[in-house]
Amino acid sequence: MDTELLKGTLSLLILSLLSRRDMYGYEIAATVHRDTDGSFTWREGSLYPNLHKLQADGLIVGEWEEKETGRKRRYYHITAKGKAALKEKRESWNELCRGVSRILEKSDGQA
Amino acid sequence: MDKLERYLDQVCRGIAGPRSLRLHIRRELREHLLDAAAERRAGGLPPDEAIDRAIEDFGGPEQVRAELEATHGHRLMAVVIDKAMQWKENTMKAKWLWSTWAHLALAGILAMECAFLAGTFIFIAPKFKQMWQEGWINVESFRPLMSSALTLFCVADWVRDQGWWLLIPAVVTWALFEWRSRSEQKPFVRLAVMGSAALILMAAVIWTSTAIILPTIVSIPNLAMMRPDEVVAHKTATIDKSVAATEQAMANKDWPAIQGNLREASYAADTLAGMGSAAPMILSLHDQPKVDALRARLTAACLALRSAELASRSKDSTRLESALKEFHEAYGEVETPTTQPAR
Repeated sequence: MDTELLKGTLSLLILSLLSRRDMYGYEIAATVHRDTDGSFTWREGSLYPNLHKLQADGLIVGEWEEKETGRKRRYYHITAKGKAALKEKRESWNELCRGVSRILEKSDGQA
Repeated sequence: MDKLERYLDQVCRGIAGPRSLRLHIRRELREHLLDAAAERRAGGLPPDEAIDRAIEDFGGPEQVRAELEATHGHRLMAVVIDKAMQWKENTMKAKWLWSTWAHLALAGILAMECAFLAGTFIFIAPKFKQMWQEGWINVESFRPLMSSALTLFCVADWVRDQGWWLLIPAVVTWALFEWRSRSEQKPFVRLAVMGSAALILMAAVIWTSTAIILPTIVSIPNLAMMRPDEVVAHKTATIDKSVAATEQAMANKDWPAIQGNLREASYAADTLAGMGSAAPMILSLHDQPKVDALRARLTAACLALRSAELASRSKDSTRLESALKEFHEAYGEVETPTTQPAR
């Protein structure tokens, strides 16, 4: 998949994944990889600037936590503001998808 | 793991904000990379390769760093350090430039030191020695310096007579070193030798300056206070004594003594001729034609002594006798007016 397309949707993906449960960075990357059957090829390093930006905007919060493995990881969870933003982004995305799909369908009919 | 830490250094060091923020980001990225490496190891990759693959999938350090800096800003200090490191990389690699510069600088210092020492020993030291022997410099006031100067003259004489032989093994050793040595350390060894030589010569320069210049400078007021008639009397006495000793040595064919005495006489006559414009004028202030004639005779006496000195070097008795006769003819008429008391 085009990584440029993915870049614009990364914050939506992160918010969506965090709406399921709290996750740490690697877990987010692994979940994206697993849920898309590896079709999203992206630089994992891009995840952290996005996470930090979302945190700076107050959409998510990160905290160091020690889980059963004994390793400390920074878990992120979505805030109420983040949930509202996710709703907006999801609507925008759906609208965009519908619009793009309609154009593509019409174009396909003429091709 | 070193590879991982190096990567994290590259990624995190430019991030702006407090150190705690950089540490926190670094720790988070490290955890991610360790998880990724562990997963790849579980997939069957060897540990080193697993780390390499995890880093590769994470992204190039410059890209990740740029994205993090776009979010957090970048440190000015990191930019300065980066530029400095870049300059260092570019400049320090120009090894030949620094090496050539260091060699030229040291060669320049060595050349200046050699020129100073040669100039001092050839032009200044003989005159200083003569002044000292003739009592122009007050030895008692500068005894420590004088003993230092005496040692210096001994060393200078030894270097002049024997020291050149030392140059031959030194030059041969150097040539062999340049020809045979293929070591990477060769420029450093050369620089070390040149630096040591410069240091030793610097010590010699300081010693020479201290031993010669200081007593001379301190003696200047005494020299200025000496009365011209005393100077003239002293010089004429030196000439008389040296010429008499020369004639005595001639009878014994003692050529070294002849040469030494003639040198002394010649120096005294030169000094007298040099100050002839002042001394005879004081002695015969209102008799200018006589002063001119006196000066001409002094000059003739000087020339005769020089001719005698040359004859003594070639051990030519006939020429020496003839030159001394000329000297006596010229100087006999000088001696009377110059030794008259001042009026």
